[in-house]
Amino acid sequence: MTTPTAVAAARRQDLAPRKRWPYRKHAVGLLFLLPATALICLFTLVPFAQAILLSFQEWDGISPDTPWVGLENYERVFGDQVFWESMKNVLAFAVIGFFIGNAISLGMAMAVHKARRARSFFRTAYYIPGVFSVVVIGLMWGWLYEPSVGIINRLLVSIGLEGLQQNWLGDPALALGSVAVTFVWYHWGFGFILFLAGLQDIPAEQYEAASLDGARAWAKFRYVTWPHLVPVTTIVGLLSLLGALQIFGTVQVLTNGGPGYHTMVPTLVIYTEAFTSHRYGVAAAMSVIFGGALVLLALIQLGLTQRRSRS
Amino acid sequence: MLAEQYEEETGVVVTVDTPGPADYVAKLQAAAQANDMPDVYTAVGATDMAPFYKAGWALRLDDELADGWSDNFTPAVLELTAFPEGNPLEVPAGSYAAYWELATFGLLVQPETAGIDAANPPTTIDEMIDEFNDGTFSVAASLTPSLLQSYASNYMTDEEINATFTGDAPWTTDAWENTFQLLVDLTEGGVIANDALPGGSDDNPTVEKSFFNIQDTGAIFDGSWAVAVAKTTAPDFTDYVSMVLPAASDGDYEPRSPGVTGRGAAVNAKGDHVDEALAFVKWLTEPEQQKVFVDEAGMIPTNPELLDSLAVPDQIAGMASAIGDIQIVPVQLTADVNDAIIRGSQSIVLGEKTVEQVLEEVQTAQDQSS
Amino acid sequence: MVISTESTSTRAVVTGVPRPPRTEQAGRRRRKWGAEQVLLYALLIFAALTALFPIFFLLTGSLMSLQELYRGASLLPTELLWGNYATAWVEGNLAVYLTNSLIYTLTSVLGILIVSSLAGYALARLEFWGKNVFMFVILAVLIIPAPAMFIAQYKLLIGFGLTNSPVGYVLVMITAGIPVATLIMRSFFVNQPKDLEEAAALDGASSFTIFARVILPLARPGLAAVAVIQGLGVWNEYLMALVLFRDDNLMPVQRGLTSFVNSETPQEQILLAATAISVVPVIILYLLAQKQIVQGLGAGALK
Repeated sequence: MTTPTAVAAARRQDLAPRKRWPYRKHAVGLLFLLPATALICLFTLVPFAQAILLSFQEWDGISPDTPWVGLENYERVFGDQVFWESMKNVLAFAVIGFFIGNAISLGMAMAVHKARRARSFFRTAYYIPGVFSVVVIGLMWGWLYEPSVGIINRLLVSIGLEGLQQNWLGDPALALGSVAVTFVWYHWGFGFILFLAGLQDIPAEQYEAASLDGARAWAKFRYVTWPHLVPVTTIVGLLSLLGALQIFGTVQVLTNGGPGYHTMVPTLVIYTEAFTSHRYGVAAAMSVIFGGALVLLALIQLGLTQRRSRS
Repeated sequence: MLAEQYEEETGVVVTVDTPGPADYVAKLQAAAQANDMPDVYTAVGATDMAPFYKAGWALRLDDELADGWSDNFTPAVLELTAFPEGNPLEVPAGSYAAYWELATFGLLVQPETAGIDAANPPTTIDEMIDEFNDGTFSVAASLTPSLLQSYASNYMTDEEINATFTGDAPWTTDAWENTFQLLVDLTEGGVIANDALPGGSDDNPTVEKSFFNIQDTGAIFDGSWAVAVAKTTAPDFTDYVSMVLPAASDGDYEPRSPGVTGRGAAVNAKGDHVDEALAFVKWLTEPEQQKVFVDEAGMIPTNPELLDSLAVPDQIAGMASAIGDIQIVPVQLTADVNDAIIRGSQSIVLGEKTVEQVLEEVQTAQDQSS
Repeated sequence: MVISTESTSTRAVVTGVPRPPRTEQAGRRRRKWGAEQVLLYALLIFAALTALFPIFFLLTGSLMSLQELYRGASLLPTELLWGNYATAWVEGNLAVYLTNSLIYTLTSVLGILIVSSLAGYALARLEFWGKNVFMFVILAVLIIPAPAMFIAQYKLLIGFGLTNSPVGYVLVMITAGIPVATLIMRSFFVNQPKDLEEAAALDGASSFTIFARVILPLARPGLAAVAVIQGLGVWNEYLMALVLFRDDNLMPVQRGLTSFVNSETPQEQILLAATAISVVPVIILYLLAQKQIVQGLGAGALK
């Protein structure tokens, strides 16, 4: 252990200032935060402020002048049906990603936690999908979902369920669900690892005690596992909710928002508005509205989990 | 490769930077922002390039063209690539890029799978729909604007189509309704594969794959470049023909394929080497160099001499024949209208929307584009 | 506004000290080896199969010819074309791009670790003005959608003359990683026992000394967790690199992959081979850090 010598060294260095400057502790705290604050201000807040400014301007991305247009961009966004339809779709993705995605993450974490052998194998396997770039994910799932020779439909035929064959990405009733399946498959490993870590931290004695009290599996989950996991759930819930709301790559490679606008999401609308239609002002206005909605949702979600953890 | 040859011939060193095609425009935009545009850059579709031209990043080539350079191009190409006065992209009138590739559109058909007689192909759309096997035809959602523009020439002159694209004429006309009716007819005729148009960022590669590689689709609507793709992915599959889209039974005009320019180049007007860059682009469009593109990449060239003497592979003959009478519609659809047509077409095929509804939406998109 | 992260448990587990073996628990489980475990393993293996499918797809596809891959008739290559890997390595310029990616990832992660552990510690342990404001800012930044800032970020870097420079790129990557990393580090420090720090403080050590000599050495598991989570993000970033670097030789590995994405001259089999090569470092990093992570998070992060 190096600690005792470290402390001794520290003592020697810091004996001098007996009478301390009264604002010292504030200064120290702010100093600790200085690097993070500087970077965030410079590379996040300043650009975001510029984006807000841009939402009142007109710009094609290249021209040197950006004329002021007042609220015109916002009026346009409010009249834009596609944008609002995409907001509805992304709510569906958020609900699926949040509830189903996290249920799978948590369920699998509990399963691995219970397993006796090959735990580290499963831990690694479940992390694998997340390491691939979205281009490869698109290639692979496109191949799985392909209506005539795709693996899923061929599998259905081979087990005699021809009737269940579908045009997974082409049928408006199924497209959003299919994309969501890919999305959840791609991302559940992240939550899984955090939940697993949380589970490993629950002291075994508490389960023992519950067992002695005659608690069944559900009761143990409800009164031992769940309360211990609340903090993990808060962060995983927040991150997965934000992740699902900002879904982009998966949609773009699989359906590009189609068929029609059935899988259109705001990030894709914003991206197209900026990079295809060259209307950066409108795209900025959409970002501001969308960003505002996200902040609101995140606050609600945090509020709910906080109340739950208090009770 | 051509750059090296040029260096040998002239001593001018050409450094080539090649970002992936998907990222090209973003990359170029970044370069423009940083005031660091290359001396020569590839020109893709007019919609993507317009902001660069507007901001003065491209040399106006009209004087050079008038001064003899135009002999290297077939007149249709020059008409297609010149920005006319008052174009909706708001680019000052003129030509800003030189193109060495031309593309047309048509059908690629595997006669047996599709169920037609190659010696006696259908001449009208109605015949085609009757003869095609069920579920044998496919077109990528992203190519529906070209399909519809092709078919529109049955009912409208090039000027009328052009006027709609510029926003001077409405979309909600009988002629356009007849045009979009094609999608309804194809759907009701049951010929569309899987009853839907493939979408996604890779939709056309998917369609080409189902035709050339998996070979379960009998006919697709595609651009002439598809033959070059097939050369790499399915060199053994040559048992197909290309043909122009059959005429409408109730059309007023001979149908004509849209012509689009493929690869070309623009010269950076603010660059340090404007003259050298211009000389290089001129050199690239000469017959000898265009010949290299034809041989290597299977492109349809823009040089009239080459076009006349072009020994096209059999499979592309049908499409290449369309070059003689392509549509001269210099204005391209705006991104919004293009998108509205793609999504509207998908909805029509799915039976979710009527032709009238989709045309209304396209009109809204047109009005928004300004 | 604050995330509720205070631990409800009063237990103090010092990281690095092995926990007592869970003999009772293991014993109870041994008794239950039966239908339940069989079902459990069926589920685990099924999930592993679906999760490992891309590896299978990648490895088989990367050894096929393009025609075979496109035809999609069989899952296994008829002939193993190892040459695809050589092509990927050479044409994808992977030697250069992989080196670049390693440098960017390592420096960015190091930067994120330093900045976020400082910030996380301050938020967890120190009392000062504006702490709650900063907490709010971190959360808000986490929420702002990336496309909203992308263009403006880029314009800003032009202003600083930091385009086409690894410094500009790494700074942006560090900033992008700060919010999540700071939240995790904060939770980690909140759950660390205070005894050692208090002892050091009584001895008159300054906050910085305590941080550098006492806190950081104990925070290794938390740092490992942050490193793996953030490392993956930097490794897979592409859009910013694309617009920032004009010099192709500065590009990260994702650039090497996109050179095989081309609808006119498709090379999907090479793309798969290049992808297989490019994920190896990430998987190695994960395997190395896996123990640390699970231990690190388990030892208190995220509580």
